[in-house]
Order: sequence, then structure tokens, then C-alpha cells
Amino acid sequence: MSCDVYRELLPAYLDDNLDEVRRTGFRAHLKSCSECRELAFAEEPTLVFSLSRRREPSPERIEACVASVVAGVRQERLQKQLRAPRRPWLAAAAAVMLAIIVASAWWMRGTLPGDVTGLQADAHEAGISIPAAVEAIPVPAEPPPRVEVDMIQDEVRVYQYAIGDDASTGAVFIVNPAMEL
Amino acid sequence: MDDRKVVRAARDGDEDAFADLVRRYSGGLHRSVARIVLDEEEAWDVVQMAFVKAWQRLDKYDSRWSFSTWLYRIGTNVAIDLVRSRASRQKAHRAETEHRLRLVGGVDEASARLDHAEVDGVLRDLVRFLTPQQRAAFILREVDDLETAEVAKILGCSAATVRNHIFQARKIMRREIQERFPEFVPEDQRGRK
Repeated sequence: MSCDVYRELLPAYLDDNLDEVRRTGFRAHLKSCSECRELAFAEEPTLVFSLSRRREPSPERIEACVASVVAGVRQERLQKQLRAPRRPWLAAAAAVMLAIIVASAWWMRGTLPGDVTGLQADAHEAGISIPAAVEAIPVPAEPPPRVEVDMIQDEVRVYQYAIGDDASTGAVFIVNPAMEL
Repeated sequence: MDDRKVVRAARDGDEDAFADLVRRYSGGLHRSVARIVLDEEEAWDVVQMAFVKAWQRLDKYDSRWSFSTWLYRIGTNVAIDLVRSRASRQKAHRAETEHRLRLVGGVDEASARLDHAEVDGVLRDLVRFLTPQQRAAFILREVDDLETAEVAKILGCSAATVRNHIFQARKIMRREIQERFPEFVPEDQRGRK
């Protein structure tokens, strides 16, 4: 096609009325023909942006992007795993068990020897008054809770915080090993 | 391997396949996004975010779409959201715009320097005056030369709306060039709107 034909295509190009084949030919001609290009730019200055050559990012920059995306994908996968427990019924059972053990531990502590509150309750029931001095007896500090690994199963690990030497009481914490860091 | 096979492998959890898609499309997506967000480094952040979002939604990908169109839709939406969220920062760059346009000079000079990075810089400065939708339509259609129908899919609008965005974009950029930088247009056309 001659330059005249291409010049006649300019209004149709600007109105986006050219089919893709003619549009591609028109753009290619403007890139190669400086005279037509000057005329086109005079008519529509923004065409300079349509014809500017592309700058490709460096391969190193692309690889850096790939590494960042893959890291993001792995993080997203990990978060997804942590968000969705594999056996939700196990967590529910653990919560019930924990509640029962904590409740029983609280009830048993109320009857331990040396527990002033328990003594007061017993004395009150029996109709005996306790002197103020007895009430003020300090309760000996308990040793720190001991951590015992009670059982290790495939999906769950149970830690029992025993109170003193009494391993039958205390709080139990159940941890999903998959969530351990 | 064609895109669909690679996408299928990625959907099955193959990270290497997904990395291959990133290699194929991150450069092109970055080029478009950089002209929308007007910042090279932020554009890389947008590209990365777009790919991670694409990974999260791979099970929703409709293979009737080309992967690149689907990816560009995600990336363009992230870019447009970013532009909207920082609209107030545009004013700070206007002084810089004037400086860069003067570097390019008149039409003759710009024509001779089509491959010069300054042309790209001027474009990035001028698109600030466009709305995010006008900006994305102009960049995708006129600069990246995607088909109007594909741009419409990416932007989630009709082809007629894309044409209107581009028409408005040209009008605004022409006005900005003539009003602010008359040296950029031929002498006999200065002041003409």
C-alpha cells in the first residue's frame, strides 16, 4: 500500500474502526515511514506513545519476580494449612476434655488439706468457729507445675501440667504437632 | 508446553509450572502495570500480588479465557485500586512532568526518538491526568496493542466503553500537551483544541 492509503486510514485508526490486520499494518507503516509519522503526530500528538518501542525487563528482574511469587505461594499454602485443621472433631474433643479436667481440678483443690477455704467450709458445716489466727495461716506456696508428656499420637500431643506430686490433677494442653514452629 | 497444560499442572499444585507462567507473563504485565501505577518498583509489587492472587483463584479460572487475559484482569484491577488509593499523591509529581516534557522537545524530535526512554517517561507523566479506567484502556489498547475485545474483558466493560475511555484519554492528553507544553505540538496548531 502507498503512503496515501495509509494516511487515509488515520481517522479510522483513531476511531478504532480498523480491523486488526489493517490496524497492525498501519502501525507498522508509521514506525517505518518518518514522513507519514510526522503527519500523523501533527494530527494526533498522542500517537507518539502508541508507537514507542517496548522496554523489556532484564532476565534477572524476571527471576527475582519468580522467586518472590513462589515464596508468596508457599506462604499462602502454609497459612491455608494452618487455617484449616485437618480433624476438627479432634479439637472439639480436646476442648471438652480440657474443660472437664480443669473443672475437676478446681473442685478437688477446694478439699485439699491446708486449704483454708475448705477448712472454713467444713468447720462451718460442723458448727465450729475458727480463731482469726488460724484463718491467717499462710498457705504454703505450691511448687511450679510440672510438664509431663502424657501421650503422643499421630495427630495430637498432650501436655499435662500436674500440681505438686499429684499427677491426676491439673490442666492439660493439647497441641497439634503440625502447628508447631 | 501450551498455557492450558501449564495452568492445569499449576492448578494441581505444581509450583514449577506456576513459576513458568510467571516467567512467561511477568514482563508484559509489568510493562502495562508500570504505566498505570507510574512507578517501576511498585509495578513489580503489583505484578507479584497479581500472581499470588491468581494462584489463590486458580480453581476458579475459566479455561475459555486465555490465561494472559485473566491474569491482566487481576493485575489491572490491583493497579487501578492502587492508583485510586493514592490519588492525592498525583499533585506532587506535576512539577516533574513539566521538566520531563521539555526534555523530549517538539514533535520532530519526539518522532526521531521513538525508542527513547524519555517518551515512556512523558507518557507516564501525562497519564496522571487520566482516570484509572481511561489510563488502563489507553495503555492496554494503544501502547500494548491488545485487541479492543480483550481490553474490554480485562476491564470488565464493553468494547464501546473501551473506545470511549480511549477517546477521552486522547482528548485530555492532547489538551494537557497544548495547554501546558505548547512546544510539544507544531507551531501552526498551538492553541488549537
